[in-house]
Amino acid sequence: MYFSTIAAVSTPRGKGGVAVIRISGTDAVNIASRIFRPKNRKKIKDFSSRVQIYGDIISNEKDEVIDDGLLTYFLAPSSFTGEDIVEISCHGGEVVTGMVLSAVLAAGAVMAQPGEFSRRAFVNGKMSLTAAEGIADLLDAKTEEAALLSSKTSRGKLSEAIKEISDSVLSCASSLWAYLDYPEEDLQAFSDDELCTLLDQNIEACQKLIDSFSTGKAVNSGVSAVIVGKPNVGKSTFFNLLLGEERAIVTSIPGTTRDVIEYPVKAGKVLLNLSDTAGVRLDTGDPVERIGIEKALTVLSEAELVFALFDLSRPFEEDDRRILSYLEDKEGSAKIIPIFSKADLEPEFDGDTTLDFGKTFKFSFSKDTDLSELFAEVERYFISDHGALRDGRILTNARQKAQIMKACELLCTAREQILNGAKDLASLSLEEALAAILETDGKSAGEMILDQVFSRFCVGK
Amino acid sequence: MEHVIFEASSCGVAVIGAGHAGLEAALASARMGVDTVLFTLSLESLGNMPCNPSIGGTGKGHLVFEIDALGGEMGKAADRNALQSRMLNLGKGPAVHSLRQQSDRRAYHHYMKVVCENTRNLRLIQAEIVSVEPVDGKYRVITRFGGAYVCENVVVCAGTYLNSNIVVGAVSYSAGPDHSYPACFLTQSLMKMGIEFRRFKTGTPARIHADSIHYELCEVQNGDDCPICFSDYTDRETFLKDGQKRCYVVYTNEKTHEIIRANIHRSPLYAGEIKSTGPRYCPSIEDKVMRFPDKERHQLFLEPMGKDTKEIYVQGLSSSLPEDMQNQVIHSIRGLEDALVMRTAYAIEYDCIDPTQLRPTLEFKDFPGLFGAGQFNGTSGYEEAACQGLIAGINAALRVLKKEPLVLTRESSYIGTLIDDLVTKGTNEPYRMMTSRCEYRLLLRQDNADRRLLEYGRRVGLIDDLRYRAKLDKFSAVDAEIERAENTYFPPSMQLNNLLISLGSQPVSCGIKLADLLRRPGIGYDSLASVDIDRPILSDEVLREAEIEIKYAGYIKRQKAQAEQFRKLEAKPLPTNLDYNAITGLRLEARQKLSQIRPENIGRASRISGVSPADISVLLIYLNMNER
Repeated sequence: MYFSTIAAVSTPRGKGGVAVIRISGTDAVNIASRIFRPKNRKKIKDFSSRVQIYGDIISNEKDEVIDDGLLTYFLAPSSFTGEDIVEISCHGGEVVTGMVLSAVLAAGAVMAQPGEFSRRAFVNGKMSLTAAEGIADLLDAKTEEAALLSSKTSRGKLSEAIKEISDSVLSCASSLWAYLDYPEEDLQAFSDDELCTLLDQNIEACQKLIDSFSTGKAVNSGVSAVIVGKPNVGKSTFFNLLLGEERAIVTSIPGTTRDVIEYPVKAGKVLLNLSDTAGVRLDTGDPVERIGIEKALTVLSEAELVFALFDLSRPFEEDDRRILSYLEDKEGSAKIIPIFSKADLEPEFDGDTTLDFGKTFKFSFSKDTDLSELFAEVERYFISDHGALRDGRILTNARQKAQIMKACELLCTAREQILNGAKDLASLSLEEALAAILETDGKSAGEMILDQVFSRFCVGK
Repeated sequence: MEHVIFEASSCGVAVIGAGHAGLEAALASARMGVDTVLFTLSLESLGNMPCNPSIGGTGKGHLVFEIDALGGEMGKAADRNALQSRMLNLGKGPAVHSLRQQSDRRAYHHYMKVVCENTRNLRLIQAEIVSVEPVDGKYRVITRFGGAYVCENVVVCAGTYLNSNIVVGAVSYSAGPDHSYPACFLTQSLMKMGIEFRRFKTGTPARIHADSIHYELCEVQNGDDCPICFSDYTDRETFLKDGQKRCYVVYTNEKTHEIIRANIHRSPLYAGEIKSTGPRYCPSIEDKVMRFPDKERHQLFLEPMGKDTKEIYVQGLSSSLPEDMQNQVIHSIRGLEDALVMRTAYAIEYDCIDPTQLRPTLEFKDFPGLFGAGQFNGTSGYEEAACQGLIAGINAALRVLKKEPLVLTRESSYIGTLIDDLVTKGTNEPYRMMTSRCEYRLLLRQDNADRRLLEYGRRVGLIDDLRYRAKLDKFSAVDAEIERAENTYFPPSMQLNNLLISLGSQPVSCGIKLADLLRRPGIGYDSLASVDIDRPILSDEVLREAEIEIKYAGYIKRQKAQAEQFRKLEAKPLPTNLDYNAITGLRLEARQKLSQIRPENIGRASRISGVSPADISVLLIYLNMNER
């Protein structure tokens, strides 16, 4: 069997100073020689691998220079995919990169499928499944912490934690197997009590990993956050303050913000997928504004973090009460942080007696408003496990979490079955738990998992 | 004088060896209407039990029930010659219930001989087979005396007879089990064809005289009060009604262990004279003492060898120590101080094949019509041998009849699991069946062996009309009872609640389904008899099966879903010409194993030892990429 040579743009779409086109496969260098001419008239093959070569990128068909750029090649097996790889850096922008890619394809390469570079790396033994997932996360990483966490996962810290659990569960299972298969011999390594203790330890270890997911998610893919408040309470000002740049239109006319804008921002280490919403107002006759309000309510119902803004300079009125009733419904399923704006003016009501959601903040928004206290509060809630974050023993994606949860459940079941004397069932539960744990690390990966893992990769990565 | 080869005869199926594998192979083939010849080195050792005098045990009991469900002989023979019957693992869940019967060794042999002598299409012949030669799509099987048989199919069930060697201390000589005459030519003939052999080792403990045991110092082990039998053909009313023989338990002690440790240099195993691979799960006493120094004592079982004989088998004391040491070891045991040793323990080394050379039909991949079964294939145990013999015999006969072969899959049976393990994973030691080898063991219980396998037995022609109809009646009785249990409601009543309280179960305040009552821990049909007054009259077997199906319905459903998943991977074929060496993502070991075994599908590949799940992922992606 033979794998075609594939190519794709491996930098993000859209504008950017530089774009990279990556070619992988046995023909990579040959294909590159057809469209790249080194400036000093040498051939690509005259240069050694891993050296940057400056030259012209030409269209094979018309023999026209498209762009100039840098070319580096890596020979198999010492490359990302384990195949020969050529990387061409050209100028950014859709048009130029499109022309370069077309030239590469015309010269004999095939367009890469989503995730295909990583897939080849996996097939060629260049990375394990967890590492592959770690890289997917790294590529998706939006913050420094996320990137750091991904690189720790890549290095196998999570694998370590998983191995500890799977080794221990395996020892429990084998003890039970021996007991069942040799009923007349005294072979059981652990008594029922010892088994239960061991299972408890593993359940706890699983639970710790499961708990780490919220931290992992908060750092990695982000927490959906929303700002709510009646019109003209200062939501957009606060939003822009979080963003550090002007994005939402700020006016003093109530009802200006009619659509939901979402943007990733950082609150300390936590990544927020922040939505600005229309103010909640009852008496609007404007249908467009009403749609905005409905959207806001939908966003609110799905949010994990709510910044609830109240204007301290105006009385606590019907709109505020309405928001309050929404918040009371949401309490428990989301973190609610009440923020009192316009705190520099004469207060019209006592914020802390009106609201009961824990810590509140008073701000008079300006460019220099210090939000560090607020961020600390967000971190306190979403980053429960700083230790895990530090040593990388953290679940960052939902598939891994689902596996560990399944394993955890099965371990609990097994424990109960042991206590009920149903040892045959207990042995099966332990086997299944083991399979679930191992699958987390790709040690026993059915096709489903693979599809899930690789569908997360984008073309060219 | 010149040795003349003469044309003796021809047949559809020739079976070499009349041990537990060979007997099932020959009987199945003959009963399927195929002209069959069964060769044995000695008619005196047909159906012999050279090791423990028992049939069944954990995992093995399942095999015997399955053999019976397919129409084999072992279950019938065991029931007919049983001395004691015990259900092991009671109270640990129905999936691991395993039946074991102590058996009368000589009576078992005699029963099997009579059955063979009276089976139509079967010729039982005492002869040593010295060579098997492929000729024109058939095989010429030649005896020591020069008789040549032209056979369409050959099933090799040579047991531990091939180039076998008995070892006791420094003494080593060429002999088969029970010091019989070994087969010293067949290995070479098969090797010439290109079949690969290896050398395994096993052993058997001493036999002592019953009257020399101090029984007052031993623990008694009785049979079950209501003994269960293996076979449908056995009359439940009379089974073991004359009483059961007892077994006894004794223990080794610190003195025993000291004797062994002080003399370990005289063990051929430790002196390096035995190099072949023995079973880890059935170690000799010297192995146990040396490998588990922390264990203060090891359990031994005293088992009767027969109804009339005084010979007692000492289970757990297998050894190849010199005879004087063996005697010291035995006499150090409380209860055996004055034991008279009638037969000395010995180790035996023998040739067997690497079973990955076989297909799941037990036919050699490279030699159509040549089959292997039993210890010849690297297994251990009578039951493991018998079930392979049955499948090999059936497939050899099906080949003569030009019908589709019979392949049992893992999720169908213990037999299927055993064969799949052998031909895909291979084995580095004599392979023994265990419940933990079966991932679908909740579906593969002893009680439903008939339901799982009856149709296979019927299709190949080993289940007659009478038994078939009786079985179908039983299945519908079970189904009807499950249906009734799911639709019978008991209103809350004083009587019901008093009963529940007395059983340690929660009383009810509203109506409850019979099935839901049965799902409660500690409650079964037996305990509900006084409230379940409309229950039809049903046999114990029907009630037992219905109860398990009801109690474990949730788990059973779950396993069925897993089995379905399994079938999907089995349905993913691997190209036979796949160049595994070109897939560098596969680890080196995986590449070698896959190239050697050439599995038919992804499912099988995933079970090859040395092929990790990560390798399977690599294969799956590789196949996917090539599909595009």
